[in-house]
Amino acid sequence: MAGVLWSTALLPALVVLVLALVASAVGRFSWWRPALAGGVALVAGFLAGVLAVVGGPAWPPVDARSWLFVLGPGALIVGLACEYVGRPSFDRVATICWAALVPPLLLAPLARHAWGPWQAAAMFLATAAAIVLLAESLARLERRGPLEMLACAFVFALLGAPLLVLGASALFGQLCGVLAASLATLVLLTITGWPTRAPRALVHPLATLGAILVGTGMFYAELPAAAAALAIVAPAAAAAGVGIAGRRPGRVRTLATAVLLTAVPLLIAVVLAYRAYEPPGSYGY
Amino acid sequence: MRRKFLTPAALVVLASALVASTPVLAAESYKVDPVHSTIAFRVEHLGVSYAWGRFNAIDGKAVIDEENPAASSVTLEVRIDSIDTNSEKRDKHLMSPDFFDAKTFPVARFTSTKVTRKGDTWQVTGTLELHGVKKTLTIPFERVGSGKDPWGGFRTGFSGRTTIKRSEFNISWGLNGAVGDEVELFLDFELIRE
Repeated sequence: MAGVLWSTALLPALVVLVLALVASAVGRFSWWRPALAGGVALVAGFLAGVLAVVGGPAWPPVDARSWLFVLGPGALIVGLACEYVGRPSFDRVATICWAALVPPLLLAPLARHAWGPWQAAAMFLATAAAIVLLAESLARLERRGPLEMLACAFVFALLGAPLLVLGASALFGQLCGVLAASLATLVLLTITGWPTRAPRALVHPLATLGAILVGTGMFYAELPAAAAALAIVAPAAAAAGVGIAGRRPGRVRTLATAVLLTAVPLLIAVVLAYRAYEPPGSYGY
Repeated sequence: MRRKFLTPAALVVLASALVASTPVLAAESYKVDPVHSTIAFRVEHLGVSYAWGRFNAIDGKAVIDEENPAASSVTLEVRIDSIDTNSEKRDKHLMSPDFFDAKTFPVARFTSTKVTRKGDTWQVTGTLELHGVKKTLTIPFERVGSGKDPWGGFRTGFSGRTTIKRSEFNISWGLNGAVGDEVELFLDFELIRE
């Protein structure tokens, strides 16, 4: 149990903390933007946890857990590029291109063994749309403030963990827990005044990792499609709700709206997954 | 009247019959009879007992050379989604990415690279490809028996047993005491001569 706690929570949180603080110190130099530290720390902390939970990736990557080690850093590079360029048009094109690239890699085994060409195309499109939706929703939240986005992503990961466990993938539920632990550190750092002014570089890694975790639960395990869809739209609901709530409703109220509107669809998804989950009986692990 | 004891034609027939009844020494091809073959496994559960399972979809071919065992070979394929542990829920979990990841790695394969024989024991060395990982292992097989079947065919049977570590095949979830690392494999094959 101590080993699980270490690999799932403590190690990723510690890596994020150390890297975020070091990066902030380095950020005093002109060639580095402190805003980028969040993305680097998050991806490093998450992958350190994944490494501790499942071991090293296969190369070339063939399964979802191996792709995390490639697509996580890949999404970070896209996020960093968007942060540096700083143009909405570049951001949009980069997001769409990245979202189109991920599904054929992640879902290749299903396209090869289980799906026909039309079904594969439809699933690729749906997964790409999920990544774009997550990225766009998180970006909108980030424009309201880093804490809004980080808190929403933290709730997404925190409730995503039991959702995936109920979807017959305890392993990916545990990896969702790793993501939640990594985000928890960034949330706490941001609350205590860590200089994350524009963590735009976090958006693409979070959208990609979120889509991979939920998508793996649905495509490779037994997570019901309705539950997966609710999880994907949860940050969009938060972004929309924060927008509707008014332009200057007060920090606490905005934050509470974002957290609540992320949590509600996810809680419904957990209920759906639980109802699809056959009660344990004689099978007990 | 003088009777020919054996005409040339009769000699040819007799010779053919003798050849047919003599054990064939050359390599012979066999296919696995899936309904009379079993790949079963057991693994420790919570350190207190064994949980058993089997794979129901087995396919394979063998070439057996009795006189020159080194010329023998075996190929086996097992469909992972045919796993059966007497619990549908557990089977689904075993097929998920937590264990076999059956949608990514739908088939396990064993391809022999070397066969040796000592009496009735055949040592089959080969490559097991499971969960995307290839490992070399040697499995000792005992010849159970051989003979004609009621439908005019010829069958032979082998029984083998070996142990693998699932962690070596990157199937590591639940190693903290819930499900053991060592998996015992029980391999019984009935082969039909082609």
